Order: sequence, then C-alpha cells, then structure tokens
Amino acid sequence: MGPEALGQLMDEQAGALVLYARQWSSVPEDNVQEAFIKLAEQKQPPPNPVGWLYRVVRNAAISSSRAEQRRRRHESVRAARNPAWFLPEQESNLDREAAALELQALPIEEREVIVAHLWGGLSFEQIGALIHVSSSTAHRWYCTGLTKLREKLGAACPRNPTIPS
Amino acid sequence: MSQESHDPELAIFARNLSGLIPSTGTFNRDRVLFAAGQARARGSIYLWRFAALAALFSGVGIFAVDRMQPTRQPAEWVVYVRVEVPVKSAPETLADESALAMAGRESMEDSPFSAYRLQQSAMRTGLEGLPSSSASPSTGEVLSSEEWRRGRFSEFLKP
Repeated sequence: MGPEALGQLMDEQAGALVLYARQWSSVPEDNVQEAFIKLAEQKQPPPNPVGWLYRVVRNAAISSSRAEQRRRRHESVRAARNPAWFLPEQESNLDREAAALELQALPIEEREVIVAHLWGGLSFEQIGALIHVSSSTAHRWYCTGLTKLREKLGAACPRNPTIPS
Repeated sequence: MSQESHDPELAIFARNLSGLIPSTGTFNRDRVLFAAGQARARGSIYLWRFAALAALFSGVGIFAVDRMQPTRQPAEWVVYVRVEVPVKSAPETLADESALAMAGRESMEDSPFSAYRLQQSAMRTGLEGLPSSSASPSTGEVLSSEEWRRGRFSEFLKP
C-alpha cells in the first residue's frame, strides 16, 4: 500500500481506531500505530483494509490489556492519565465526557459494536465477522447498547438534527 | 445501516452520538508514516542481505570445488623441425674472399689519405713528408703558407 493511501486511511480511521482500541487497552495509540505499520508491511494489501485494521487493532488491544492486568497496581495512575475520548470540537449536542463515561459503563460487546459501527463505519456483517458472531447478534447488541446510552444520557433527541449524515 | 432504522428516534440519537469526534490521543500521523516507510525499507534491506550472502556462499563453493580438483600436469611437446642450410664449396669461398681483399686494397689506394699511401709516403720522406690537415683534397699535396697566400684557391674552385 502506498503512502498516499495509507495517509488517507489514517485521516479517515485513526480516531475511530484509537477509540475502538481504547475499549480494552490503555495504550490505544500504540496499538493503532502497530496496526498501520503492519498494514504498510503487507506486500499485497488486504481486500478490505478497514476491516483488516479493526481486526489487528482488536487483537493488539486485547493482548495489551492482558499484559496490563499483571500491572494492576498502576491502575489508579493510568486512570488519572486517561485522556479524553472525544475532542472538544464536536458536531453533537451531547456532553462528550458524560457520553464517554456512559460508553465505558456498557458491556464490552455492546461498546465494541457501537464504536465499530458508529465511528468506524463497519457494517454489521463486517462486525459479526470481526468478533465471530452473526450480524443479527451484532445488531442486537448495538440496539441494546444504544438504548441504554440514550436512557442514561437522557438524550432528548433534537427535532431538527443538524448532524451531517 | 438499514437494520438500525427500525426505531427512528434511536437512529437520530445514533447520528447525534456519532457527531462526537473521537480523539486520536498521542497518535502522530507523521511518525506512523515514517515508521511505516522504515518497515517497508527493512524488507528490501533483508532482500539485499540475503542476495549478498547467497553470492558469497556460491563464490566460496565454486572456489572450494576448484581447489579440490586434482591439478593437471602441463603437457610437454617436443617438436623436431628440419632446416635446410645451403653449403658453399670451399674453392668458391676462397676466391670470393681474395676478390673482396683486392677490391678493398684498390679502393684504399685511390684515396690520398688511405693508410697505404700514408705508409708509402712515410717510408719515402719520413714523418715530415706526411700531409697536414691543410692538404689538397684532390691530390693529397701539402700546401705551404706561401701557396695559400698566392691564392691557389682557384684549384679548389674548378668545376
């Protein structure tokens, strides 16, 4: 894969991938960086680079979370250094810190599906293949998680949302 | 996205939620691109190293095979060549040599400064009779200073 395509992929997916890796890992940027370097090393680029990246990032993030469990004594320090999940500039009327907290409170499978679908743009078929479940299961988890979030955030949906599709 | 549109309110909330822009944290795009380039170059370096090692081993192998072969003794060839040498008869040779000696002597006697004539002159008149370097080139006579003064140059200027 050439540098232009790699750069474009980074611009489009880096934030969503970091957020996706953040569901397990405390060093999500490193996981995403490793994934992009692995992608650059591929002689033949994968047919679906975005799905491939999510799979690699997921594996790396889960591996690093397992390693982190052995260093639990640093948990409080790490939590204190945990950066914000979302940028201040946003195109939403939701509170970004509250949304991040409520997202963290969701079960991992629901979080994973919501992040991969909402910010990563993956279809439920792709998510099902990624986490080895059927697309209907992935969709059910997505709806369940989203409903919980809406209830907890007390989101009064705007009558005329100005969010770009 | 078709599956999520069963509940319109949920779909609106999902769009609202997706308006939050995820933070990239400390992810540095330029650093990752640089590292990706390094990783790709590393692959080509390995290829070159492998090619260099393969060439080295094959060279060593060829050298070893060449050294292990028994050395060939250089072949010696003796070639006989018959050369015909022309042989002259003895009487003809002697006759040629005497003819050459006579011709040499005649040519020597013609010259006024020849050793033969100088020897004859010395025998007749002694050392004083020998010509000086100012002798006439044609006759070999010694010219005195008087004769030079009288202008006997005309002899030398004759055509």
